[in-house]
Amino acid sequence: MGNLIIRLKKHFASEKEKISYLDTKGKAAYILHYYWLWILGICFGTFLVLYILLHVFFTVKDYWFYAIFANTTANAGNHSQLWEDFVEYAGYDTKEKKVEMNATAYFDPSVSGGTNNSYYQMFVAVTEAKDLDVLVMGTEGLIGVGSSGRLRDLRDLEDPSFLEEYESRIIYCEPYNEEYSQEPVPVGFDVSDSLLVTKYHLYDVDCALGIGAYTTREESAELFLEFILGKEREE
Amino acid sequence: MEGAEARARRRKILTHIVLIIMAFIMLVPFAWMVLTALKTNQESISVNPFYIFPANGWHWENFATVWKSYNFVILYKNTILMIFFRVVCACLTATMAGYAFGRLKFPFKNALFALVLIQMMVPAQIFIIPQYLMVSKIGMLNTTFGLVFPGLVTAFGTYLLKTGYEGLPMELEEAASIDGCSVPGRFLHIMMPLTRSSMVSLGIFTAVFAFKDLMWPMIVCSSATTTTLSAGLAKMQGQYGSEYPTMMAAATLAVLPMVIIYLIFQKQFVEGIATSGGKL
Repeated sequence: MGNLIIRLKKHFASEKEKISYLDTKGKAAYILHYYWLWILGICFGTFLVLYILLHVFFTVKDYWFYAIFANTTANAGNHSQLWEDFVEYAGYDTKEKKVEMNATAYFDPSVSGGTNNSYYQMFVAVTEAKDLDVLVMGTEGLIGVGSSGRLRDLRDLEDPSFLEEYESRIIYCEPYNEEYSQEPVPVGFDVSDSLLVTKYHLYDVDCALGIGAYTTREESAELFLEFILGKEREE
Repeated sequence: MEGAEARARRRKILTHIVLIIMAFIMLVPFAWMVLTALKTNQESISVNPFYIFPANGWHWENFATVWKSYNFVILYKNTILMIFFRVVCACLTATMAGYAFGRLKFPFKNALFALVLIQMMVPAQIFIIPQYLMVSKIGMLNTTFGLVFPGLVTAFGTYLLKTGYEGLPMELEEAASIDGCSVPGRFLHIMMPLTRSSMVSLGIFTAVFAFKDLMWPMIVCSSATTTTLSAGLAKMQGQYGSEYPTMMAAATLAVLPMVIIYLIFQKQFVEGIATSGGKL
């Protein structure tokens, strides 16, 4: 490293000596001719570093809530009516953290080949990254996703009273692994009569809600369930 | 003698007939896309084989509908930016790594190159989750950088450029070295310009594969203002699933940039396939 600095110093001293006889225009022409690539590289590198630093330090990265609404053509993405209403209901400050609603996913594990697409890969990536809080889709599809092990076993919820409260809505799937469980696993809630159907028209027929297997925001998922079931917010 | 000539002519005609049939088969989906984009929905789902062309006039308004529904200017901009930066980054990193692996001597060179090759042997899906995590944690979701991220480095490009550098005569570099040219100087002024054809191949294939990339833009860009043509088209498929003319109008608009790029760089495309074997 020290050797490199000495060599660079020597090089620049020699270059300085070379251009000392030229006028300003000549100096600029010389530098541009021999060092254009270096100048371009330094500019690009500086821009890239600043761009990344700005995003790392000044972008909202964490989520309040992340949901995927699969197999719907309704407008239920970010800043939709559903998004606005839920943010207001939950009282989230979206400048502090994000609320993400993704309604552009089409996959169905209950049919053959229904997961051989990029949408399912997207769902897997978001789930494995521990970002996904809630998945809503047709009941049969959700049971299929539950069997893959990518939905939270509701018996493992931190708040067991929540499970008791909505016991009549629980949906079960076959365990993805017999070693894991010998009996059907509760993986979702039936929300066919929720606001998602009656007010926001995301689904025409039955639909169910599951909680992401690795989410660390169970309370957000529970809050969303309460919201779509029309429960008054407890202060 | 005349018989041999006649046989050669017959063989030539037969070859041309086969090639025309093959070309026709290849062009049918493209023609179907363009013609369907100009039909009514009823015509598009008709099974009557005589409805190849629109029977009730050419419905150019399908293009206007889809253009109004989706902001194609933003989709084009995002796609072009993604392609541009992926090509620049791929060429830049691959040429430097290729030169290092192909020409320089340093410890663990073969082991490190084996690591690069291993990347080519693993399905791309394996990298999706770690890449998503990295982009998410640095707050780059829904940005151009997020779209470009997986294309910052390319294992295939490194391999292609390494092969290119190895194929150049040693004497060139030795002569430059004797004249006092440093390693960066030899790389920049002597060797890199000679691998231009490999770089053009890499650039073209990177552009094509970036344009076709669907999974990554869908994962990192959920917002309509930051997504690309491929992901935007996939979203339209959900919205206009049963409206084939609108879907096909969107698809026709989406392929336009690639058709234009192909028409401009037709020669390089063909040369690129010959150079790289069409693998990426």
